[in-house]
Amino acid sequence: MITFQTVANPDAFEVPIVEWGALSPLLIMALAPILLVTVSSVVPSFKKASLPTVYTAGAALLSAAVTATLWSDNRLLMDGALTIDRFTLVGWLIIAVGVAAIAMLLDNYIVKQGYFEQIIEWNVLLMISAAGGMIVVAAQDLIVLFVGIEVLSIATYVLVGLHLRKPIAQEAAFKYFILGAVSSGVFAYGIALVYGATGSTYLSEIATSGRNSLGLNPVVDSSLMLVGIALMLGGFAFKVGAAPFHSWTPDVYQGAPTPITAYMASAVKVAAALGFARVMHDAFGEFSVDWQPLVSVLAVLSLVAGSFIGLAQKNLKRILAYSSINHVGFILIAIYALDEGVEALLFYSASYAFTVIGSFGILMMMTQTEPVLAESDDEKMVMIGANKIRNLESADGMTLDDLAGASKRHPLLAGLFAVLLFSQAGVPFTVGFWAKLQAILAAVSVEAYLLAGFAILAAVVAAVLYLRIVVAMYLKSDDSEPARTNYSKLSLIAVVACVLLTVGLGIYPEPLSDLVTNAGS
Amino acid sequence: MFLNQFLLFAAVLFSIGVYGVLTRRNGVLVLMSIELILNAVNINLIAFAAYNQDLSGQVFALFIIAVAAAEVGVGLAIVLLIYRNRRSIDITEQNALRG
Repeated sequence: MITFQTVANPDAFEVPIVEWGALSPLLIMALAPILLVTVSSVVPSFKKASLPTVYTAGAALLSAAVTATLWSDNRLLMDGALTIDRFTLVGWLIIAVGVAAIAMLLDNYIVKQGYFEQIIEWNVLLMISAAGGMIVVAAQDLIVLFVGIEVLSIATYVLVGLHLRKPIAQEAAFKYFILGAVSSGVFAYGIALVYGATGSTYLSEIATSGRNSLGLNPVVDSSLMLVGIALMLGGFAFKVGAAPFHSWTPDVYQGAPTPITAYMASAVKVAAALGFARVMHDAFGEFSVDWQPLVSVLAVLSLVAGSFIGLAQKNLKRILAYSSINHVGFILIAIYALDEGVEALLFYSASYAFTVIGSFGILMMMTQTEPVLAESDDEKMVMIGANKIRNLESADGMTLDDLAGASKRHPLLAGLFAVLLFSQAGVPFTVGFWAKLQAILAAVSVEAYLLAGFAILAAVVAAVLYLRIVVAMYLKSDDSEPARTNYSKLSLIAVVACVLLTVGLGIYPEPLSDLVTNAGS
Repeated sequence: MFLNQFLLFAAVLFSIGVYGVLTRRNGVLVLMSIELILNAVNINLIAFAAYNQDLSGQVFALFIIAVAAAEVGVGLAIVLLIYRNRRSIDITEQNALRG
C-alpha cells in the first residue's frame, strides 16, 4: 500500500470532507462543458444540427433537477467555504433554468449568424460562466466569492466578443472587459481591507469579529472595515449594473449578441445580486447602519436613471437595458430591507430572469426573420471606419420606428412580447406585478416609505417605457405582410415557456412564493 | 517596517493603476494598468497576512495572480480582435456604441 507523506505536520492541514452529493448541481454545470469540449473534439459528428444545444439545455436542466432534490438541505459545505440553503438553491435553480433557455435561444442565433462551426465554444463558455455564477450564489468565503465572480465575468467577456465579424461586439466586449476588470480590482481591494480589519475571509467570522479585532486604534480599524465595505459595494453595484455604475450597461447590451444580452441581463445579474445580498447580510449585518444608506441611494438612482433616461432612448436594446437598470433598483430595495426583503429579492430575481430572457429572445427572433438579412452579400458587409457600421444582426440597430407593423409581420411574437412587457411594467395578472408589490411591501415593512414612494413613481414612469414599445408594435400603421415564419423550434419553446410562466405565476403566484419562503432563515 | 507603509504603497499603486485606466489611449497599456490595480491588492493581502500571522491572505494573493493571468489573456485576445478589425488599438476610436 502506498502512502503519501507530503504534509510535515499532519495536524496543520486537514483535508475537508467533500460533500459530492450536495455539490452535484454545481459540478454538473462545471464538468458538462469540459465533457462537451472533449467529446466534440474527439467525435466530430457530435457537432451536428442541434445536438450541442440539446446537450447544454439537458445538462442545465439536469442541474436544476438535482438542485430540486436537495430542497430541504441547509448546511455548510467544504469546510465552511460554501453554503447550501434555500437561498442558494433558488439561485441555482434560476441560473440553471436560465442557461437552458439561453442555450435554446443561441441555437437559432448561431446558425442564422453563420457561426455553426463555433457552436461548441458558445455553449461551453455559457456553462462555465453559469458555474461561476452558481459559486457566487453559494459562496460563504470571500476568496471563493472572488473566484466565482471572476469565472462568471471572464467567460462573459468572451461571450460578448464572440461575434467575430461584428466590430461593435468587440467594442462592447472591450468596454465590458475594462470596466469589469477595474471593478473586480476595486472589489478585491475592498476584500483585502476587510480581511485586514477582521483577519478572516469567512463571512461568518467577519460577522462575529467585531469592530476592533486588529487591536489597533478602533477608529483606524473601523475605518479599514468601512472603506472595505464601500469598495466591495461599488464592485457589486457595477456587476449588477446599478446607477451610478450603470454606464456600461446600455453599450454592452446593445453590442453583445442578443442571446448573450439575455444571459447577462438574467443569470449574471441575478447571480451578482444574490451574492451581493449574501455578503451584505451575512458578513456586514452588524454594519447595516453604515451601508444601508448607500444601498438606498443606489436603489433610488437606479430607479430614476432606468426609467427617465430610458424614455430618451430610441434603440430597442438600449431601452431594454435601461429597463433592466430600473429592475435593479427594485432588487436593491429588497436587499436594503435585510431579512424582511429576502423573499422579495428571490421572488423578484426569479420572475425578472425569465421575463427578461423572453423579451430579448423575442427581439432576437423578430429581427432574424427580417427581410434585411435575406438581401445580397454586399448588404452583409461590415463597413469599418467613416463611422458607418452596418450590423450583421439587425437587432443591434433596431429602433422603435422599425417596430412599426411588427404586429402584422410577427403576430405571434408581437403578442408574446406585449405580455412580457406588461409583466415588466407590473400590470396585474402578470408575475411582474407580484414581484414589484413584494419589493415595495418589503420597503414598507422596514419603514423606508421614501424608498417605497420612489419605487412606485419609477414603476409608473417605466410603464410608459414599455407601453411605447407596445404602441409602436400595434398602433403605428404599416401595410406589412406576415413574414415567412421559420422560427427555430427550440427558441420558440423557450420563449413560449417564459410567457406561460409570466402569465401562470401572475394569476396563481403561490408556487413561486412557496419556493422562496423561509429563505431568510 | 510598519503595516501602514505597505498599505500606503499599495494605495499609491492602486491610484496609479486607476489613473492609467482613465488616461491611457493604448489598449495594451490599459491592460497593464489593470495589472497594477490587482498587484496593489496583492501587496495589501500579503501585508495583512504577515501582520495577522494568517495564511489565507497569501493564498488569496495566489488566487488573484492566477485570475489576473486569465483576465489579461482574455483582454489581449479582445485587443487583438479589435486590431484585426480596425488596424488600431486606440480605445478612443471605440465609440460606435452610444446614445
